[in-house]
Amino acid sequence: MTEAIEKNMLMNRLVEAVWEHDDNVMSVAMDTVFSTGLPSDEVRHALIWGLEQVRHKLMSNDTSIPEFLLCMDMVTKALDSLSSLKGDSDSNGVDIPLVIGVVEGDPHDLGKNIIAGIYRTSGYQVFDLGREVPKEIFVKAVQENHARVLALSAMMSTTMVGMRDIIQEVKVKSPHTIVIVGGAPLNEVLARSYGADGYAESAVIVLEETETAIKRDHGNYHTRV
Amino acid sequence: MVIITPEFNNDFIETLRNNTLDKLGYRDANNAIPLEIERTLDEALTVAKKVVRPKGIYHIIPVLETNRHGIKTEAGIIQSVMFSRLAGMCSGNCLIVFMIATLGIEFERACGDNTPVIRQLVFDTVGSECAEMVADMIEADWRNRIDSQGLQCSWRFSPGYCDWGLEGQKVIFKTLDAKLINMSLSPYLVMVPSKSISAVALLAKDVPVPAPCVFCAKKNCPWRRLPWKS
Repeated sequence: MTEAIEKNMLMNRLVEAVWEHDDNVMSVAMDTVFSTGLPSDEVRHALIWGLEQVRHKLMSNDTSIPEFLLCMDMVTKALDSLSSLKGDSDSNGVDIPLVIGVVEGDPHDLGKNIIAGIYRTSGYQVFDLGREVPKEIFVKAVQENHARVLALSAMMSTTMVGMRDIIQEVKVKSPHTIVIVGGAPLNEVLARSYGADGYAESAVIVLEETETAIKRDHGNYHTRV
Repeated sequence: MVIITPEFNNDFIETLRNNTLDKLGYRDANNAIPLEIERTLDEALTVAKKVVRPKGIYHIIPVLETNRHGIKTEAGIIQSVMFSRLAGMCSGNCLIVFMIATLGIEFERACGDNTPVIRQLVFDTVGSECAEMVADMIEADWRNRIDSQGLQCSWRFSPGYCDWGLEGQKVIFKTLDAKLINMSLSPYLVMVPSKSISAVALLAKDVPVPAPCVFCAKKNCPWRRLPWKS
């Protein structure tokens, strides 16, 4: 059997392991990846592609959130083992730094954790600040990590108003950073009035919304830098 | 003010299991439950049985006045036009019950941080469904009391839903001594512990409809509890 066919079969097994969220298949496939020294970028692309197909099924209601999360956790585990092999902590060889967190006063972080997982398994370098994060910490993290994207979450009307201050300060101190917001009490109009570049109504569309905002900002980015 | 400490039995855990599966989208028997979800659910239910300390508190007071802005009580005004309209439809002197139900703090700590997201989702869903069921148990207690007085009651109505803002938490926490069940309200009006439910309900001789959804034009409201009628 040629090397190309073997490689192709291995990639298929990786994707199958994601789709079936099968720990055993993934474990054997990853062992083979490590023993054959397959380029980690190619493996990463296969894993991300596999999950992307599941996300599209979610968008068309052909799968459920729990099933998607099982697949996502599978990809996260595989990417983590790739990273540990390469010796870098969270980059997975990707190049879009993103800071994410839940705003001050808000302890609800499940939605944010799902979104962080989606970003992490889709080619973003995620700096997750957790929940109940004060404005100053967001601003500092965006600056220190040269974040291209800041993703803010709030699940209550009493905490979402804090987003406005964060966005205003980030826009002054890190003008190249685009801000995506999401959470139960928000809507498109509120998000725009707070100065956000994008509003993700649900986890399912957060990637499209982020990519659209990045593209929209691209021209401005080059004129500013 | 009445304090309740409900107890779980095996039926409770079985119902909690079914409610959680229903919420996660596995209501259809043909929809196979992945093994990992079954395992995590079993673990979450075991933890719930072990660490949840359900408690509830309620207090019934008279409605002083209803107008187009809200419902006036001695504890403050419930600023909901919709709920006030519902009160306006009730006959006789209206009473209002204020209640809080909680699981205690231990369960929400049990899942732990930095665990797989699917585990977080299952634990969170178990917690939410369990809190609803504990709230049902507290409600059952005051329903028993008012039944003997020939009163009817509305469904529960909570701050942050319909047109009642989260500010409503202040009225509830002013009425009830939440410290008695180890609860508090953060400056952002978040209940601590978070797996808790606060609500009010109307009591009267005749409560013609149980929820203000009948007055609402939002056909596709995600929180609609009564069928939409044009």
